[in-house]
Formats: sequence, C-alpha cells, structure tokens
Amino acid sequence: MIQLHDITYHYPDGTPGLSHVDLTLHKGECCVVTGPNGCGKSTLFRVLNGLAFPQSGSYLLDGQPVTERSLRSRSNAAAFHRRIGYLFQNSEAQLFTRSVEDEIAFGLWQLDLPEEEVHARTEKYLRMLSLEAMRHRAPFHLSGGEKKRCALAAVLAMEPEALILDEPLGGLDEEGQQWISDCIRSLKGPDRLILLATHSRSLADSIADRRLTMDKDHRLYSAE
Amino acid sequence: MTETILRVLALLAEGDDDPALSPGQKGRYSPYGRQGLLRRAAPPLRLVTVLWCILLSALSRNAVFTTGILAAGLLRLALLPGRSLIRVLQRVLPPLGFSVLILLPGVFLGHPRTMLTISLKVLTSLLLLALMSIDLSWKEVTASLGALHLPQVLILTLDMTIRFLVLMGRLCQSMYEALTLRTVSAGGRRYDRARMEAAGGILGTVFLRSGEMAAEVTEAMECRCFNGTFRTYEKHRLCGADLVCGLLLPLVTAAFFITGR
Repeated sequence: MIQLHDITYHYPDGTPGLSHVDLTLHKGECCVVTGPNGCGKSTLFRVLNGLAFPQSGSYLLDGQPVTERSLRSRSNAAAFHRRIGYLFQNSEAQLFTRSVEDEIAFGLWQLDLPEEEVHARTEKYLRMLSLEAMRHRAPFHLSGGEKKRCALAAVLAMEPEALILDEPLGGLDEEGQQWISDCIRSLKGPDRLILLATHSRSLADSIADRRLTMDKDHRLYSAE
Repeated sequence: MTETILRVLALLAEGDDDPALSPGQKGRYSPYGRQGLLRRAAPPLRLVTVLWCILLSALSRNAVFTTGILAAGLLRLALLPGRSLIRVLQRVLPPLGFSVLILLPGVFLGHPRTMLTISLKVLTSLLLLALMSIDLSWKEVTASLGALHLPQVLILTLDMTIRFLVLMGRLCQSMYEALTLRTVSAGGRRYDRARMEAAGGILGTVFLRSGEMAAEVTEAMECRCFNGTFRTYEKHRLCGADLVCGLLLPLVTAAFFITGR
C-alpha cells in the first residue's frame, strides 16, 4: 500500500531528518517503529502524512506518487488524508473544537458525508472510546488520557485505511497506557494498516507483525 | 494576577463558570439541562434578547424605560444564589464607579442629570451583560453566534484564539515560575534587572511556541481534510422557554415605544 524509496529529508535549517529511508507497508500489517528521541520517527510520519516533503526519493500510495504538487489540489489532498489517519504525538494540537463530539464530527463534516452518517459514526466512536460521558466537554480541559482517546476517536471516525500513531502512549499513566494499548490491539484487522512509533516494549511485543528501528543517523532498519 | 487572568480565560475556554456546580457537573456542557426557565431557552435567543435590551436602553431618551429594564435586571439578580450575586456585583460595580468618577466633573459644571442618565445606562448595560455571562457560557455564546449566521469558521477562530491565550498563559506562568526558582535576587528584591531581562526571553519563547502551535493545529486540520467549512454537532430543539424568551423581544420593543423612546 505504501512505498518509500530512498527518502532523504532535511529541515529548512539544514538539519537532517531522514536519510535514505526505504519502506514498504502492506494492508493488514501492524508495523512498530522504535528508536531514540530525535532519530526521525515523527519526521517519517510527517512525510507519510503529506505534511513534509522529502528533498529526494519517492513516496507511492497504491502506486500513485504523493508529492507536494499532487497534494496541492484540495480534492487530491482530501482523498489522501481520508485514507491515512494520523494521531499526533501532542494530542493538544489535534484538538481544537469546543466539544468532544464536535471534535469527532469535524473530519466527517469535511468529507461531506450525509448528516445521518456523521451522527451514526460520531455516536459509534464516542461509545467505542468510552467518551459518551464527556461528549459535551471542551477537549481542552480533558486529562491527558482522555485527550488521547478523543484524538484517536476523531481519527478513527474517518475510518482510514492506514493508521499512523505517533507515540500513542506518551505522557499517559499506567492505566491510560493499558487502555490505549488494548484499544490499538483491537484495531488490528486485515483491512487496516497500522504504523506506530513507541518506546513501550510491551506494546511493541504484543502488537507488532514487523519491527523497524531508526538510529541516530536517521536511517531505518528492520529490527528482526 | 497572572493566575486570575488564566482562570478567567480558562473559564471562557471551558464555558462552565458556575461555581455552584458540583465537580461532577462542572464541564458537563448541558445548556438546556440547567435549572430555571430562562436558562432552558435557546442561547441565541437569550443573547439576542439581552443585546436588544441593551441597545434599546442605550437609545431611550427617558429614564422610565431604562429604569424598567434595570428593575427587571435587579429582580433577576435578586433571584440568583449568593455566590453568583456577588460575582455579578464584582463585575458591575468597579466599571460603574469608574464611569461615575469620569462623569463627576459634569455635576460641578451644572449638569447633574447627565451623570445620572449615563450612569443609569451604564449600570443597566453592565448588569445585563454580567447576568448574561452568568447564564451563558462562552461555548453557548459562540454557539449562539453560529445560530445567528455568523460564519462558523469565524467562530472556530474565536474559540481557538481563547484556547491559545490560555495555553500561552500557562506556558508563560510555568516559565516564570521556573525563572523565579532559579533567580535568587540580592536583598530579596522581587524585580531585579536580571529577572526583568529574562522576562524578555520568556516573551520570545512564547512567541516562537505560539508559531509552532499554530503550525501544528494547521497540520492537524489539514490531516482531517479541512476545507474551510465548519459545522457543529449539536442542534437545539425549540421548547416552551424559547417561546417565553421570544415573547420578551416584542414586549420590550413595545415598552420602548410606549414610554416615548
């Protein structure tokens, strides 16, 4: 589904972000990326989400090249982001509406889905992520774990084919980590690609079909 | 001072600023489930009614109409629980005192009525606004603006601005605390030169962080296919309270004309 070939990315100030990265991801697999802080995991995810564009190399999604130019068209960008869901490392940035239910429905309205569909999906993911009791609360005032759940619900509601989760357990207590881990495990399925970055060995061991690691030189290797 | 500002902004962002609410109720946004007839009316209707009353009392040329509105406001004030009543008075009295102070020279120049008229109008407007702030949360106000056909994107921007202010305020506060812990001034002076210079660094960092946060939010919106439109999930169903609130509008307008404007 996703193919990265010889991707190299430098930040505008010249700092290297990714160095000659090759990666192929298939639907139905769950791939875990590990590595020290600052090795480029988030940069890799930003490239995969079309938020950063590499200086060299190619990115193909189902054989179609994903470039800055191709995503400039609003319809192409919408079609692309609909297929790839991204849970940010910092959930705070991802939550910007005035209530949890608005947050979940936000992406669905953008997809121009019929109102019934928006309501059905919003209710489904409110239930799934146990957010019903706080549906009217401002996401801004939720606890860290609740924010993560809200952000995840908002991403899942768009029912993307690929789910990219950047350190989903970051900043959570033990109970929160357990909850999110169980939730991510339940998301595994033949129709969904999951790519996640984590420092949690237990989550990586329990969920990964394939393990990748990044080193300080911003290169990606198979960990097996 | 910083804490007070943060608290006010946080309350705005949260929208549930009623201290009478229990911790369980706090933050549970239920505008239509609250007690009291007027509180059950649709927020847009309440907002329009209050703004209309303020406008008419500002336009009115005689004291009867303004006093009538003020009397209704005072009646509503008297029905509030003690803590809310104090909060309303805390919001109303300082600006009222300031306007009286500004207008006081007029009395000595032989225009005592001017001071009374303007002070009365100021008091009425402030009281209605303070009562509205008790009855309507920030979220309800922005939702009302949407119902009044203000572009939802504008409202989203408003909401986000408040949220950013709170986040930036928090950042400022924690950086200032860290700075305070690391700077022990000679003789215990609170505002020494080194600390004031470091405050410039705080502002610079906050400025850079605000840019980063704006970029993060833009990316998050982009990832969720933001196409420039924004709709809210919740819809209000009309109820009896809306009718009562709706009737107030023509009644107030009629009173305005009957009292000879």
